[in-house]
Amino acid sequence: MSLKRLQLISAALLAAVLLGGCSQQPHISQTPANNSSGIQDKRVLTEIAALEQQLKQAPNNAELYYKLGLAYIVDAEKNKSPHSRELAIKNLRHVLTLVPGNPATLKLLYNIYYEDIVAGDKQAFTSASHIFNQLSSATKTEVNAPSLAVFLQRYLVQQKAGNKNRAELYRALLAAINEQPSSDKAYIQLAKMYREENYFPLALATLKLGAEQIANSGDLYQAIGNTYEARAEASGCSYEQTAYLGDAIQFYQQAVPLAPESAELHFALARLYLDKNLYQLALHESSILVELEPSAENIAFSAQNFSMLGKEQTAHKLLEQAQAQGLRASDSAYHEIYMNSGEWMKAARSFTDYLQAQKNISVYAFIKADIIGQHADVDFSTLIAQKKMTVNSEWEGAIYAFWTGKMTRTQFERLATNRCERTEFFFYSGYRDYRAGHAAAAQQQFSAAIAQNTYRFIERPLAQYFLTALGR
Amino acid sequence: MSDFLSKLRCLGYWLALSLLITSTQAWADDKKTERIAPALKTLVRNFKADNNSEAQIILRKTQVQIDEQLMSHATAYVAIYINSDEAVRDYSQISVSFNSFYEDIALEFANVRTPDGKMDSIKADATQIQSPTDENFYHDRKELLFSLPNVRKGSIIEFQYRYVDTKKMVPGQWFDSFSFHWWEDRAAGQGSRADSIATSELQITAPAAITLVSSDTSRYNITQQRSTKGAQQILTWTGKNLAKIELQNAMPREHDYAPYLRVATTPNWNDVARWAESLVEPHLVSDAKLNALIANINKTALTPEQKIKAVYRAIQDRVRYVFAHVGRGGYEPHDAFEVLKNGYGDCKDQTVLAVMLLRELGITANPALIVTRGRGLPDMQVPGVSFDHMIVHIPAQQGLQEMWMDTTGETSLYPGFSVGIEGQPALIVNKNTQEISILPSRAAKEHFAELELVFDKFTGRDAQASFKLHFGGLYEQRLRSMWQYANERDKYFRELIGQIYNSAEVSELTASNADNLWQPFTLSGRFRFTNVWGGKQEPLHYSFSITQLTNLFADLRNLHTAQDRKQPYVIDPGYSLRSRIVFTSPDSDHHLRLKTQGENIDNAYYTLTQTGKQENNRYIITQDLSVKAVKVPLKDYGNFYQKTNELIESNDWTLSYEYNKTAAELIALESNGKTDVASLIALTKLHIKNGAYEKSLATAQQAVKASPKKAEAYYVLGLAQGYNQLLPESDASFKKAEALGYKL
Repeated sequence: MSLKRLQLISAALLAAVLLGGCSQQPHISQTPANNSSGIQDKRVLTEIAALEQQLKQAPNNAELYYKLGLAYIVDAEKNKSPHSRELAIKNLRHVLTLVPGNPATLKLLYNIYYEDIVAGDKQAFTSASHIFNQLSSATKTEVNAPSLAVFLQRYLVQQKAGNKNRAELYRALLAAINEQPSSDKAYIQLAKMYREENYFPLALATLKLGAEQIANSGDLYQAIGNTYEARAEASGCSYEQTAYLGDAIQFYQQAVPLAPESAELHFALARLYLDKNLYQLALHESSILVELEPSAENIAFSAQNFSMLGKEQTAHKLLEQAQAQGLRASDSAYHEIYMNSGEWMKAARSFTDYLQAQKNISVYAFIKADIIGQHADVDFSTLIAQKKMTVNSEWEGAIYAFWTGKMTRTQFERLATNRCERTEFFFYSGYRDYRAGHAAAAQQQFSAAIAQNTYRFIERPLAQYFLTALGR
Repeated sequence: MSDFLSKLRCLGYWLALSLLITSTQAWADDKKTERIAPALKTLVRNFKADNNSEAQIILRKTQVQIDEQLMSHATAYVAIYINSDEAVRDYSQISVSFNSFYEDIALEFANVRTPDGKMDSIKADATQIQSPTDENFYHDRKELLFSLPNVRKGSIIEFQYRYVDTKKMVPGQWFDSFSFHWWEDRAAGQGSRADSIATSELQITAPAAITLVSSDTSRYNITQQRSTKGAQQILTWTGKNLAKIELQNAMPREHDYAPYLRVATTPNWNDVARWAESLVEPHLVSDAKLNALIANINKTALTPEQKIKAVYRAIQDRVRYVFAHVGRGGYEPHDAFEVLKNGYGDCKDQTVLAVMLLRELGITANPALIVTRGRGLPDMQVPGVSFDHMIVHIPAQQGLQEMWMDTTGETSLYPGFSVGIEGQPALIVNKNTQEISILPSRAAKEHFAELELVFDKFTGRDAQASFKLHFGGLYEQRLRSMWQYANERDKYFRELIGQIYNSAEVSELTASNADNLWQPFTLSGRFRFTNVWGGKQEPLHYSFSITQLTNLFADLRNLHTAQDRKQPYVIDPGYSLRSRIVFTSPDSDHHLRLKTQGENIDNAYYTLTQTGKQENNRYIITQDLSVKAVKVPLKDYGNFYQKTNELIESNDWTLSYEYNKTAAELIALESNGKTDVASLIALTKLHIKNGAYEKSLATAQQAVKASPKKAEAYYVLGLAQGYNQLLPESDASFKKAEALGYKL
């Protein structure tokens, strides 16, 4: 029942690169959005006609050709017209014959070719590369490398076809790094892919290579922090790999001054400080997180942190704030905080809301239903029966088997191989002792659960609650 | 190219203009005038003006009477509606060219009907006969020139003139050619115009016993009628509503664009060849001085080729090209010995002298009459005497291939075969000649301009480059001619060559072989580029484009758009533009960064092949553009225009020499030959940094081999393996690195 509110390796990273590829392409400024398309078309057509007329008088006027190219781009985007797109390219290329190396024209042309690569035009890569190589260093920082467009194109094709050829994607990203070593995007994306394949050292080495090339990239440091966290977690229990957690903290800290407004960094730091039992620092980071981004979810996260540390009043106060901010009734923060403080009826109500919102439930929700139900005298069995239960690992299967009496305590204990699993073994076996009235055994098991120092496990405050209930 | 082509117009090409003939008496006696056209009032009644046209020919009518002696008497009438200020300027003064040696001309009347219906006639003092003012040309060509009063927009002008043969050019034969349009010189020497024409009519009356052959006019929508009246035959050609002729540059040389007719009394070119030979042969006579020259050549020149070269040299050295033939009719040369004695002569004089010398030296040679490119490419199916140049034809014989030699050019390399006669019709003057020959055309690669440019000096922020320009064919001829005749030659050529790099100054310029017709003319010198390099660690940027050649040596930028083009487009001859550019690194710390490469193109009109290669501290590009000899039909012009634009907008070569610490270190590491683990690790990292992943794998493996306990060696091996898609191996190497204490 570990807290996994956020997937540490953000799936949004790839999307960020995907969007980055496009959003970095400066869109052609168009007239205000409230124009109706008909009027817009007419205006563009009029503009094109006027420019072509002017060009008859001044056939070597580069600016007029540039404006004409721009007008055709607007038309091409508006009407999805390949012909207008061709004319845009023709006119912009002509500008370059009149004023070779003109930066604005080069950038505009590059954007067109970049989009063509993403759209699958095989010829466009050569054209884009030609233009890209002519861009100034400053302009290059405003666009993505041509091979990044190739990566996007291939990625999208693979996704659509449902096949995977990661080597092809790796090659495109390595080429992008080579084309534009001063940009962090390809490094980050490449490392993310290595990470997904569990090649953590290669991912880290790649990111550090990028950091050597690019001073002051907050995104790179954050990606390194993410990778260390993922590496720790990939071991099965991040509390067994506290050195990686320390490394992650170190790189997140380096990223903070480069991205002082990033709430995500402080969220990560708060988590990691808790994991390291540096709870004052964790609470401080939580408060910064809320200060930077006072969303309902962030306030609830802060509330849970206080709850886990036994600071019930603050936790409840913050939960109320989160509720006022619009925290959904189905959020797990409600029932977990109420469970930690032994407010079982409230826990039962909020857990009902939680369950109703779920399509599938985890093994941990199944057990929570039992515990809350037993203490609040509420029967969740009907509700639970309507849900499909998902078992995500062998260990979760073992928990379920033990909880439902299909596995002995000894068998269960034998399967608990790390501190995370042992935390859960001690707690759930202790709770069975507790329910059976074996107070001494329960005390022993709850104490052992706490002694695992898995600080962000909900089993830890619950064990403390039941110990207290047993008079300990 | 008109400057050097003008030298080729050495024969009196009067026959083509025979409709426009005059006499030394410019003004005819009114009493003898008989109007051949209906009254202007009648003409105007049936004429419908087109408001969109600048001018329209209402009627062009010509009546030719050939008598028993084959002498012609002709009358020509023209009525023109003027509908623009431009036409007012062009038609206010009418010029009719003729050959005063053979013909007589007289203006019979010229009137103007003003827009308000009043008639005004030409003033007596507004007519004259004058000689054209061509330098070095003393000939029998003259012009009847008359100015019309009160020509305004809306006016109609009419005039009639008569012309008669006074001497026979070719005894026993009669030749003529006719254009159905009225060609009028534009004002201020801006070419000619041929406006649309409502009715154009030519009538030839001749004794029925005479055979008249004529060219086919059916393709022009010209109708022909033949009738007899007593002992006379009457041939009439009529064209209705003939369109205005749009004259544009690079039109086909063929005369197809304008309705055109040739008429002759013989279908056999042999008749013309025999006549021409009869004019030449009597003048192949020698004297002591000429004999001495022949003897001298015989002593020094042993082979046929040496003899021909000696003849060419002798004429180049001793006979200046001057046309001086007043009172000779244009086709009869001076005696060969006289040409040598005078030290000057025109094309037929020089040809006679050359033929005389060659024959005496044992080489078969004949004169050849030529129609030069300046006169287009007339239909030669029907014989005529419309040649404007004469050169020497040497048929294939023992020790020699067929060749054509022209001694008149001062700017053409031996044997003087210029672009002005390539592919043109020729009549070899020999009694056995039966047909017209076509002069050979040279391949595109023989008409070339080639640039060699080497960036070779860097001082402070400045750079310098040496250049050499080689030429062949039309470029050799053209540039040599410009060098010989340009005013302020040095300044002119510096500006001209400076167009290759607008940002540079031509600091030195030298021409070679300008007066040597045995070696190609070349130009060499230096460009100086100011403030092009920041020096030290700053990059040095280079670029070059094929357009830097085409802008100077071709005219591809100012083509008509597809909608403006009215005529087929001709490239003839084809030509080649070549370059070899050497971009040199300013110093050893700067390394090449090739940004863009010129592309190769191959289509129906152009073949462009470009290469680039790195050689030590320099990058060398070569370009070879072949502009093919093509005739582009109007329907394909859009495609040609597009392909031309693609050519001139194709990618440039852009490269820079940039100060590159990584590359400098890499080269240092690679060249120091060290195999210690630190060097190999450093080299691996640099390879990875440069994207040379395969190389990085090799050096990383060497590093591990060199020091199996070195944690960092496994670290870089892990990286190199990862980037070479050896992911499990990479993971194992990283684990090994960590096991050896590397902090990952």
